[in-house]
Amino acid sequence: MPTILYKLARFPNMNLTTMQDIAGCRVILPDQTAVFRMLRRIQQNSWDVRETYDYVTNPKGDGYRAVHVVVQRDRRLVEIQLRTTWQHEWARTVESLDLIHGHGLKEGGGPEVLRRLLERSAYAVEATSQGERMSEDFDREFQKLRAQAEPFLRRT
Amino acid sequence: VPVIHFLLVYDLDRRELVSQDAFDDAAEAAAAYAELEKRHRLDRGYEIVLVGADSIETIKKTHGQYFGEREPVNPYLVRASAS
Repeated sequence: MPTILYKLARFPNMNLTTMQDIAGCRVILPDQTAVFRMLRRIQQNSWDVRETYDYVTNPKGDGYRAVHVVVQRDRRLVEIQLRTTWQHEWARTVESLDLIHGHGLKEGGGPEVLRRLLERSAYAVEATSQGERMSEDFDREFQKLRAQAEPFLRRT
Repeated sequence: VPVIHFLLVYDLDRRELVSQDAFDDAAEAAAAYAELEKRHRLDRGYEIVLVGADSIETIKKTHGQYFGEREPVNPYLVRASAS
């Protein structure tokens, strides 16, 4: 069921001069096994793989998890983002928060407490999606952070 | 299968689709999209999406969130709260 998504970023903090001339596509897969299977298929294909960023083994500081592969096709760089459904869902929440509040979270901006909450959120969404249960300590800490970040989550 | 281009505007506050247009021509769709992005450049709370597929039914499956599909529930996902 292929779809093509065209999306311009509307974030004021985006620095256009640092963006490469790069095309992108995103694949949402049911789970992590499927993501790594797809990664292997890309690597074993005769595609010219330039870079692989494994943000699952090494999540970004804000909690972002995905695998990005940059390949060269027809003399053009294409970034393929591989995400599980839940990793995608988490990334969507960050995107909606940015669209509503303009914190520039995706570019490393926004209040520290909100960034910390989102990092913990990504960690817990990942763990629970794999069937783990979070500890009571974690839950207490998470609720505390959520309460502190509440003013930054409110729609105005 | 020819690609139809759908231009969607989603209101994040009201959580509903406020407009939906279909284009056969990619360039025309891209121009309409750029125009909308420009108009809403300083607005927050609108998501503007141009997405191509064989039919709107496909989009409803792949981008169900814009068509009133319930958001997946995980207690650790952080969503904006009502004011």
